[in-house]
Amino acid sequence: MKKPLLIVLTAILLLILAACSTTEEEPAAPAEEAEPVTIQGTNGEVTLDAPAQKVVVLEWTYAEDLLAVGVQPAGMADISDYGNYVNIEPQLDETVVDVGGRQEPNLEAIAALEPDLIIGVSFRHDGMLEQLETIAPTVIFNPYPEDESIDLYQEMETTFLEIAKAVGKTTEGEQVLTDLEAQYEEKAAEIEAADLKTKDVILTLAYSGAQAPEIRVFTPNSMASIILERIGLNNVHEPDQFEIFGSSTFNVEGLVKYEDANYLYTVPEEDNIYENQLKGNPVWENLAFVQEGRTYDLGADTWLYGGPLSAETLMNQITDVLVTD
Amino acid sequence: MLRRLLNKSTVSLTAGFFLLIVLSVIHLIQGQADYTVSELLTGVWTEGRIQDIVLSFRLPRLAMGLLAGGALAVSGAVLQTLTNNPLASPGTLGINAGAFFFVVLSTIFFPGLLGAFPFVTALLGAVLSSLLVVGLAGNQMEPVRVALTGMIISLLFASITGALQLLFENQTNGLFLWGSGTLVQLNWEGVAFAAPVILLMFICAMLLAKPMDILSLGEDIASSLGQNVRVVKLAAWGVAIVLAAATVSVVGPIGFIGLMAPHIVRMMGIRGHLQIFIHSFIWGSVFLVGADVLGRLIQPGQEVPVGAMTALVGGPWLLYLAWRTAKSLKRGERQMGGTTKPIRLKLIVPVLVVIILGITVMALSFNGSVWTFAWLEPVVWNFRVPRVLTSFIVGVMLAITGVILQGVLRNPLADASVLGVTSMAGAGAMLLLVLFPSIPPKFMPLGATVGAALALGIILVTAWKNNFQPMLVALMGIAISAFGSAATQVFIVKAKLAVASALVWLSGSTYGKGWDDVQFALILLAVFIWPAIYLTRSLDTLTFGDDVAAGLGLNIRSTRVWALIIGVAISTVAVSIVGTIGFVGLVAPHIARRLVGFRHLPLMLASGLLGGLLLVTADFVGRILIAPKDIPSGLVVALIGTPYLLYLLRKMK
Repeated sequence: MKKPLLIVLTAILLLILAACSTTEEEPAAPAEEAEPVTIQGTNGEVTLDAPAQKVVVLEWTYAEDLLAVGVQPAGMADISDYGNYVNIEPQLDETVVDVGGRQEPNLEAIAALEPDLIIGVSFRHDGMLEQLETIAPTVIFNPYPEDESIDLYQEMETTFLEIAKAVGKTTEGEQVLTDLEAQYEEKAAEIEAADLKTKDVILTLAYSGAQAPEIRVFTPNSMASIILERIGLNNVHEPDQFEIFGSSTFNVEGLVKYEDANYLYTVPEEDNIYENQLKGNPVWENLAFVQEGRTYDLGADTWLYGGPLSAETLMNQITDVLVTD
Repeated sequence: MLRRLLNKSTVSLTAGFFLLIVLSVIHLIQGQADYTVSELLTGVWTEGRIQDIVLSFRLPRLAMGLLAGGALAVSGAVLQTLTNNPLASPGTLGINAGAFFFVVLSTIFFPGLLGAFPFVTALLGAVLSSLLVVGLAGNQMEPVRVALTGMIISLLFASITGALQLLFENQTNGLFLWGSGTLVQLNWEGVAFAAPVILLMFICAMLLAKPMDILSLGEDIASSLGQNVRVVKLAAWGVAIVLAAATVSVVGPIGFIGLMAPHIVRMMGIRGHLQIFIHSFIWGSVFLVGADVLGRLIQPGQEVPVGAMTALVGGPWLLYLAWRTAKSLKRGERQMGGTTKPIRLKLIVPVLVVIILGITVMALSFNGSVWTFAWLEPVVWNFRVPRVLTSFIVGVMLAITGVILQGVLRNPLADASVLGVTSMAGAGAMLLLVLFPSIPPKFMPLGATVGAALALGIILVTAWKNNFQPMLVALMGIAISAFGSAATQVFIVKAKLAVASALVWLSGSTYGKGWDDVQFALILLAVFIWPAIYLTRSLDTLTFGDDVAAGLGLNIRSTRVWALIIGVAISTVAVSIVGTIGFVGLVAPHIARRLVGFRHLPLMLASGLLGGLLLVTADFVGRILIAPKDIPSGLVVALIGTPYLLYLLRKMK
């Protein structure tokens, strides 16, 4: 008695499926007369009939890229955590809708926003590309290319300009980058003038691991490290192997090699390993940069994986702590 | 005789100490600051950097390894005598898991408490799970049953912990992955706490050695020799539990040391509990320090959790032990726990269909915050509808697998996840990813199939002779599972890439299923349902036992093989669609058997419906509980499945 039912159900489903696929490509009628734009992601070229008005971003960095050119996203993933890690102006509007986690964003919530464009990141959203494309044109970027020769800063700029183009803000985007270049020069001059004891630095992000703190040390090909170099500092960390995410994971022992450099760090406020765990530790306390007071806190909400605005925050913070000291 | 014993003892002690020293030296050399041996040797004596590093990082880690390994091994040795069970250990009895679960609980709900008394919370958990095991396993303390109960309790705690970690992401940030205890130390605090407790308990264990020698002659003899059996047993349980809890509160749950070390000591011919305890301590230390050395060799500069390393060796060991123990097991009668007064299908099917329709309507209409009945709206139609349908179809598949596997193995505990098939499928897929990093995710089912086949092969080979004794097969399956998930963990550290997506895939999720998946699932269900239905007649015949079935003209061997192939094929299909979702295939046939009895055709129909219902419900709950975020439905199912499994075990008297 179940079988006939099943067959009928299947038949109905297949019919509806067929119906769906024919009606899928309804032409969108944009209100304004606008030029179509084509953007390049890792999933190929994506052409929009007009610059996107309503964008859903599934990764924080790309939300930041949008904010940098003055566009608020329609929806974004993991908004609640965003504020804890990212500190940039302009702030996110309160009207931006939370579409669930970054790893498994809520497809229904995205679809309900009826976006013109979805922006995802390769290592999370490649697997659900087809699903996303049924909602809206989707572009995927990969901030961590497996090709070692690709400079992650370059990647950031390219992606930023693509996103700016997608929302029809190419001029604003270029302006942001030009301003950024000017700032680099300004800050490099400040650093130069400050007459630091050493311009060697390492940049770290720490959090508490299983029993002992884990410290991410940024490699020279990471975006954050290139920003350091731009303002005249020198990242001394040389990883043993290529690190795809742009950082090696160390414990305190590993820092010994770099004790002569300046120690730049960010650490979450509620998980401050330097206060809670390392204070009084003989190895940590005897590291040259601790002894000589050359550790510099960049603040918990300085985002080391962001776009141009985070880059700006990062260099401001670095110059502030290094120069005013 | 005495001479020979002395010799064995000397050999074991010398070998143990020698290995321990060699491993300790290697252990001390390993570290991120790459000093050479000569640098270390010259630097360590004078005040300065090298001395600091050795004294505050490397030595505490080594000391913790020695203490934890020894403590776990002695705890295992005590438990093995107490329960008269070669399979007993703090890991297999679920004591480690209970202790760690309580540590997680208190981190989340009473963060202040944990800082002050991690040991107290761990102890509480350890005592609780010991009581649970003893209570659930029954008074006879039959070895395989006890171990099985313990392992299932571990699974239960693991899945609750997993759910908690998802729900309280921020609070559990610093906590490690389940089961992956690690020896990393930052200073002497951990050692300073653990050393006195462990040493004190070790002394207690040695004092108890004599009474335990007498106890192992049997309780009756012991009490006729004037021993207060109750006091001795209680004290011994206390020692074993405190040892385990002290270890877990510092290094987290590390399995299998407590199982292997005492066993190897006994195999070397060491007799008498005093000797056994001393030797176990040394060999436990050897194993744990060795595992830590190995873990750091695999991926220099990275931490492979030492718990994963011990499970990698310990899983197969448990398998071997279970196999040996079970040789002496009597062929138990097979109670499949069904009803003899089946409810008529005409009644039960409509009732089930109505319930399914009810749940489906709810699942289709609610997204966690808003009700809507406009199912044809693209938002609902493109995402929610196919997701619910896929859940249903996959649920049906998993339930059918369960019916087939349980029927052919005549084993009420058989199910792809209990047999370790799903876990090995996961490991196989990850291995593929490690070997060929650029392989598209579409090929992951290929690795999954190989892994699944391997798991099944192992079960077939090891359990054939014992005629698939139910609890033995289940225990072996869980041992294979432990191995599979440890391997997966190591692969994940090794692969580095795509870990996030692989993890989601592995935890089993009905997330993001589209109409393609519905089509794919429907087609495969349509292909496989016919051989499955055809099999029901043979399965019915098998119910009478092998001899009768053969007399009735059934080719038992080929029936078994075919049924297993089809069962595993269907479950691999399910794994390739939704990842490793367990327990549906266990729970659904059981409930069905209580409703419709033993005949396999109605059984398959009813459990298919129930399986679908179960997974749709799990998907619904996972989707709305912390909306707009998702809880993987595999986790939700495990939360329902493990208690049910325990209940089953309790019923299987």
